[in-house]
Amino acid sequence: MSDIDPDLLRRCREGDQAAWRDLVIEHGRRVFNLAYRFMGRVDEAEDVTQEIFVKVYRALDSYRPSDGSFPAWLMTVARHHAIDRYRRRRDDRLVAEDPAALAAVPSSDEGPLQSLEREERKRFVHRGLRSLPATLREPLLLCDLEGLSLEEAASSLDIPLGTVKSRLNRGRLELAKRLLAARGRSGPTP
Amino acid sequence: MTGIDCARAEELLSDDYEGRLDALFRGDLQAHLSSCPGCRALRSALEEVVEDLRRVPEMAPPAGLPERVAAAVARAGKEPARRGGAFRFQAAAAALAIAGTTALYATRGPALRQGARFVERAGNAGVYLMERKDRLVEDVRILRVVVGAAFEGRLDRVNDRVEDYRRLLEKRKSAEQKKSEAPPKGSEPQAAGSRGELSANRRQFNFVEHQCG
Repeated sequence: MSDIDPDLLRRCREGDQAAWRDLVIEHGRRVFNLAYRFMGRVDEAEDVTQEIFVKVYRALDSYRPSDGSFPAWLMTVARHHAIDRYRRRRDDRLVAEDPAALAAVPSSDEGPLQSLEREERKRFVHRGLRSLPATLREPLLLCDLEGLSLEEAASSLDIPLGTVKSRLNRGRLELAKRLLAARGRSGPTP
Repeated sequence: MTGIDCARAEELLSDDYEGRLDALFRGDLQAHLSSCPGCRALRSALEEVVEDLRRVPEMAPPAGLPERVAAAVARAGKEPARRGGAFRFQAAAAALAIAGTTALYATRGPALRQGARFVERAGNAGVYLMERKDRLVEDVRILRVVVGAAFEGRLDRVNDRVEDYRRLLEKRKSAEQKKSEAPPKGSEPQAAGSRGELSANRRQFNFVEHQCG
């Protein structure tokens, strides 16, 4: 991802609406996907995306290019807000997963049956992820879905590194055990 | 007969998958996996789970999102910025207390001055403890976990916790530096000392681990 054009940054600081539209076109996809992974619903993810950009607008004066790249700064702000919103959501219900989000990534070395099985397995895993307790879900979201290092996840969640490691392992194990149990009940799929 | 049981093997699976496991533990785990079909299946399922989690394709944001965000930012720009109401209240209360104490101190006799000095010192001590209470709680909590892990003979965990503590001290130190460009002499001498002691402790733990291995 490219860094930010200084002129665009200046116009955004001035509150230029067209500049904000351009900024969201350039960086909104990544922020929206982060929000979606935490909230699990498109409508909530859009609300959170808007809140994140409003927050960025209010904090933009504090950003200095010497602090690091703009996308990295933006994603840090976005991640903190997404975690905060996720934790504040009282209704910790199982959210409906959008099937489009879990569409199989095409793979050239597998047949249609394997592809179907893998897709089904992926849906199963993601449904399982939604039903995990928040303490186990958060490290999985940050490390496995967002690709953060353990250290970055520990910093974002404000918990010790060892706690992130153990919760990540426990979350993965829980999902793996459910997968094995489901296979035991219904054969090779999921 | 292998050196670790299934519960211990489960704890090592993620680290093994990530390639972060020390050679000693990796050897123990491999020995266990070679004789335990249940843990082998779990290891394989864990790989599939992580692969599935990591391969989620990106979604396209809803149409019109950039325009809606731009409008939300424009609305936010028109709202008056919210200020810290609680902070202003605290500042006003503190100013009032200082003004009152100064007035009493200036108008009353030596007994009252002594009393005022005592109250001031007690207040300073209270504020000092209040400012550091979170640290004290954190320190005790980490120490409890380290000691617990050491008693269980879990040297890898002990090292993890010590590493956590080192990071915590670094975080505190950088927070202190941010607070004050030129920190007063003698302030927080224990931070540097603790770090040194910590490194020594870590070396000692590593030494013990090697000895056990």
